[in-house]
Amino acid sequence: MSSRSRRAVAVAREESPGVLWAIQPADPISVRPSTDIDPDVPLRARNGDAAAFAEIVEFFHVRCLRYARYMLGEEEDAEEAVQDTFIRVYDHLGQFRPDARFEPWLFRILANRCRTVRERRRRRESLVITGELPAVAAEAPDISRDLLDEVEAALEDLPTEQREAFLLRHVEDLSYEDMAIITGVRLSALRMRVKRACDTLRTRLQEER
Amino acid sequence: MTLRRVFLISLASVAAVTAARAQAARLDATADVTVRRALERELVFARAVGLPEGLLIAKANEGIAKRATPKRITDAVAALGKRLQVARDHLAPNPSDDEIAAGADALYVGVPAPILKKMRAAWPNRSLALPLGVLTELVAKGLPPARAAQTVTDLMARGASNVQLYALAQSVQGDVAAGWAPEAALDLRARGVMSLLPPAPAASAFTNPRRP
Amino acid sequence: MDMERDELIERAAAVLRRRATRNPRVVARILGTVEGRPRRWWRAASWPSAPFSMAATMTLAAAGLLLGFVTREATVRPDRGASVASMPAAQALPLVAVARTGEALPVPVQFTLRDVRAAQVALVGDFNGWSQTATLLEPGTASGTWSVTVPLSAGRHVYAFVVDGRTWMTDPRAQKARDLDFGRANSVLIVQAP
Repeated sequence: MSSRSRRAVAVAREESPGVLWAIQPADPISVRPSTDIDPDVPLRARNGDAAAFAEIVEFFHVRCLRYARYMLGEEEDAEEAVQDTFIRVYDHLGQFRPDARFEPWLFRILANRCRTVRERRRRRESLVITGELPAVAAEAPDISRDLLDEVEAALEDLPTEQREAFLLRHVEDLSYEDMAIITGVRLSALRMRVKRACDTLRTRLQEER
Repeated sequence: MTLRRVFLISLASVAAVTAARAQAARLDATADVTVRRALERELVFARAVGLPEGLLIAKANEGIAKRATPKRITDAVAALGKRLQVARDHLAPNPSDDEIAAGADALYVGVPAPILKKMRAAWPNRSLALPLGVLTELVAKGLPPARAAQTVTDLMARGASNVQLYALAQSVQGDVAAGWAPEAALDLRARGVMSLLPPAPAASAFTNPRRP
Repeated sequence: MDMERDELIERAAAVLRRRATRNPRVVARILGTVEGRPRRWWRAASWPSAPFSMAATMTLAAAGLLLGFVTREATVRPDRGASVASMPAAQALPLVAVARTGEALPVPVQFTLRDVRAAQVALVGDFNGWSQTATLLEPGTASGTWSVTVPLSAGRHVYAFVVDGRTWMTDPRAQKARDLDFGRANSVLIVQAP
């Protein structure tokens, strides 16, 4: 397939997320409760409703910060990427099609912003770092800090594309179809990335027990 | 060993522990008990070998301020203790607390310990706090430690002032931010400083002879 | 059956998922940025369904490009809540005196920050034991400006600001030092002495 055709397919996938472009049948196990916002809200925001846009930010920013934090490794970069994401969402709401799903569209922008921030970080000298300090060193009483440290360290050591795939699939609970929209990568490649990530994490976490 | 000797040694140990506890009182009040105990142990040792205890307390307080876990804090304090000892030994004789702290920072970013000794030899009677700080920043910006250290010690031996070393660091930082490769920036800026200094001495234990 | 999901992976994912807290500061910054932000002209227009001539389409596109640049320039830059200081944040003032041994006396260094939303700004660093109460910045005459002057020994120092007791902030105008011990970067300052 030529690069032009691939681009056309990628655009078509983004525009029409409801269409299954993959050859593999949808995995019935992957049908799960929707994590997307009420479709009416982005439409109202698109028509200029400021309260609707605020609702979008409120609804998604926690997940966006979590994803960006794991992709970028530092709070300040994550906050920058998330802020840029929502500003782009605001600027480009006119391009959001009413028949499309909002969540993969948003995460696509977020994933791109994370890539940009990561690439730019090496050349950046001075940076405002703001990070909310946790109230105590161990916030969640039933989560061992050691386990969180182990998992985070293992995640950080994954290749970027595997980390991205693992986070989207297992932490953000997105379908492979949505992940294809977000990343522009074929379903088969995404499945392989997730599998490899899981294999690596499993081995690593078992070694540390 | 006489009973009196044993008694005196015990007293000394108790005194050391008591002094360590008093110092540890400067630790943030919210410190976890494991952090407090680990710090007291480090302070006993630091006091025994003459290391600046305040730096260990400051490291623990930094961890507390950053809401780090007790394990990370105790690990960081222990690691700092080791670096302080190495720095003190290689900056002998009689380094100041500022020099020991600066030496520990340099070791932290990967400067090999023998370089501290070379810098001491270059400036036996002047404070190394600023040159070590400059070296640390150059290495943190991506310069190979040996290369950065050689340049800094060459400049020191040639009579560069603290102001000139400071200006070197600022210029290199600006060049790197503008996209220069760190080594190219250092080479350029070091030549600039060198051109302002008196000619190299005839023989030097730590500089390479330069061709005219 | 989904072979990826086993107990260990589920547990790891659950642990990662739990690390998610609402961040009102980020929300406020985003909403503050878009407030009054001009929407791009082509977002208001809908593409005509009737075919346009190529010349008309290109003219429209060129006009859009021009207007997009103009709009971008006019857009208020994102306010990160703690705005970039309008002056160098850490300024070493002239050296007061030099001791004979070559060890300079402490140099007064002024730290400044601009944060219009802060109620309290503390300076923490290697020179004050990282205490959040030892060195509080004082508000300046201009709204949202904070400053304090501290005597520092010559050499390298690391520091940061803590805003309202809960937000760690590096100095917008200073170099940054990665923190391998605790994972939160500090700002770096080298105080020079002759």
